[in-house]
Amino acid sequence: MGDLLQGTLDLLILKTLAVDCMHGWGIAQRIQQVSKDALQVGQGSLYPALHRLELAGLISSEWAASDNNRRAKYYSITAAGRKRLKSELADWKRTSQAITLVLQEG
Amino acid sequence: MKFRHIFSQPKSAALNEELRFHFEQLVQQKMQAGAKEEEARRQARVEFGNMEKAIDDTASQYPGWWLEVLQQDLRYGLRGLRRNLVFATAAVITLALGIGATTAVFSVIDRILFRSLPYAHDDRLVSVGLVAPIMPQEFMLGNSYYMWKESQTPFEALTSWSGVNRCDLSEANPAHLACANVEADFLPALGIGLARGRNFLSEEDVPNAPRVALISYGLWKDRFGKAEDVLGKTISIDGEANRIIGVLPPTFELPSLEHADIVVPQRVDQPAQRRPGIAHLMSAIGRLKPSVTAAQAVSMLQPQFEQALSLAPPRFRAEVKLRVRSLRDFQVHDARLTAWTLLGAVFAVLLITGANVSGLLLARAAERDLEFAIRKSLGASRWRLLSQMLTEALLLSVLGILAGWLLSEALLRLFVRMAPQSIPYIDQAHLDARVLGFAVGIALLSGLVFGSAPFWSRDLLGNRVFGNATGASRARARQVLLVAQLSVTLILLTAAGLLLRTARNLQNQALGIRTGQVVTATVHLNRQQYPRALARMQFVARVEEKAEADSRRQQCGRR
Repeated sequence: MGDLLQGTLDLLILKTLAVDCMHGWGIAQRIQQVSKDALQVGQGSLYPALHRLELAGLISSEWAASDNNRRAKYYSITAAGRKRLKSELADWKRTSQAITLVLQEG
Repeated sequence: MKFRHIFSQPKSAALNEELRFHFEQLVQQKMQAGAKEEEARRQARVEFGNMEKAIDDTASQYPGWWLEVLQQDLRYGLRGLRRNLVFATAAVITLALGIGATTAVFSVIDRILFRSLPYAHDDRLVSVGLVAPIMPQEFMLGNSYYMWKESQTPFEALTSWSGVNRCDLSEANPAHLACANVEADFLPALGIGLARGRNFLSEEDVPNAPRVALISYGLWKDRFGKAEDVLGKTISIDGEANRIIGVLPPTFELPSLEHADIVVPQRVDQPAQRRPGIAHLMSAIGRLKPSVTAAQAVSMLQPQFEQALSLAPPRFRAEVKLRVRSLRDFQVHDARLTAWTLLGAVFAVLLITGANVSGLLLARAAERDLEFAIRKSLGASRWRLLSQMLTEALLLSVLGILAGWLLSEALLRLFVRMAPQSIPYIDQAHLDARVLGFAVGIALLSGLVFGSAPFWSRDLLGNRVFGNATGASRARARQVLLVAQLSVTLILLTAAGLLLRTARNLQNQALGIRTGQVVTATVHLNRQQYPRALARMQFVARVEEKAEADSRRQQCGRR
């Protein structure tokens, strides 16, 4: 999913984390599952995005044991992240509606 | 972005663990899908792609990540240098020699060629006068100088002075000093302002006027403790009371660069100079009008020159010339050419240094091809490799700068100690910030250029790390360097050889006198005790008599 817009990946990550906290692998799997394999997030863009979001204070992280008892880094969304998610969602809806209107015309 | 993140650095170990976890999950998934572990790992590796690149990309999200990269490169570079101690030592010594020699020589030359003189608009100041084979320095005679001063056109101001003589401070705590004798308008014409007090009045610059004096800043500091009430005090110079009317600025220097503690009016009898008789010998300094050049001044002064010639005895006329030259030329004489030659020579040395070091770096790059190939295949980007190379080269540069700085300090001290008196300003030569900046600039530049040489010699010449044609192009680059280096060295050696030979010839030149067992001594007779020429002659005669008597006695004793 190299050609997914950068902002879009951020949005997907925030949305995914809004449901539950999880590690990077989990986020990638979740996005793939929910999108019915249409969206595959490669680690090459996932981890830079996660660390960027964490630096921006939109998500936070902590190390914890995973299901199979390995140490993994779990991410969760922050209050600022939820706020950002809300405005981004609104933006996204407006934009996609607008695009749909343009595409349906004629 | 929160403030605490500004200096936050990614923890490589943590990043590594995070991505490694991702990878292991991928392997698990493949195995659950039915693949054997080995096959699952292979598939995961293919799918996962480049681990090092992923870590680098993620780390680069942090503002401070380059600090960690730099730290890593430095640590790696130092380790590399330690492992190749011979290479490192050779490169640092070469750099130190090149930088040290260049900086030291530049420090000396800088004073000669580039330093501005402590006068207002010093570029318009010229030394004006006649030259003759027996007087190669410009001089003026009182009988024509005052007429020139009235009728000349090229100068805003023309002034004169009569040199420096020894004088004695003849009071409690006496001292031998140097007194400069100048015309009343000498200081204003050169644009020298006083630290305290006022300049001479023209009525103080005539014979038998009440004696006044300006004292140097050094004398004011050492003898009067910078007392403000020094003005109006009298000091006794050669038995005559002089009233102090001012203090010279700390930067004061005479056009001849001679030392002076006291400046007094030259008190030339102008009306007497205009009549036939013994002419007063003096030097003239002119301030050119803004649009006039020294060459134009010579032609504008022709009428005055003709008049001066008519006063000279006929058989001398053909030998006397008029000369106007900048004050800097007057001060440094032919040192200017020498200075440029020296500068050229040290730049050649610097070039050789550069070629040498880059040759060393190229040779080292050849050894490291394998290492770079491995790092590249592990996903290090070309910029990462370049930054690694540059860090190492700059590390060498910095070490070279430090060593070169120490060397140039030592060399400069040596120069100052062994230099002949005739090199202008040599005692003032020191490493200043500008010169040091020059050296640092050179070192860093050579670090950047030659440090990246392995990179562009490979990349520009079309050879990738994996190409096996590297050898040929690099060999060619090294050959070019070697040829350049050898030719410059040869030129330098030849020039140095010729110079040494000339110096040796000069040293062995027969002087026309026998110098063996001859010693010289200078005796200063103060004006108070020996006011007349006759008394001074008598002193010399007495010394001669006594010396002869002594030597006779010694010869008797030897028998």
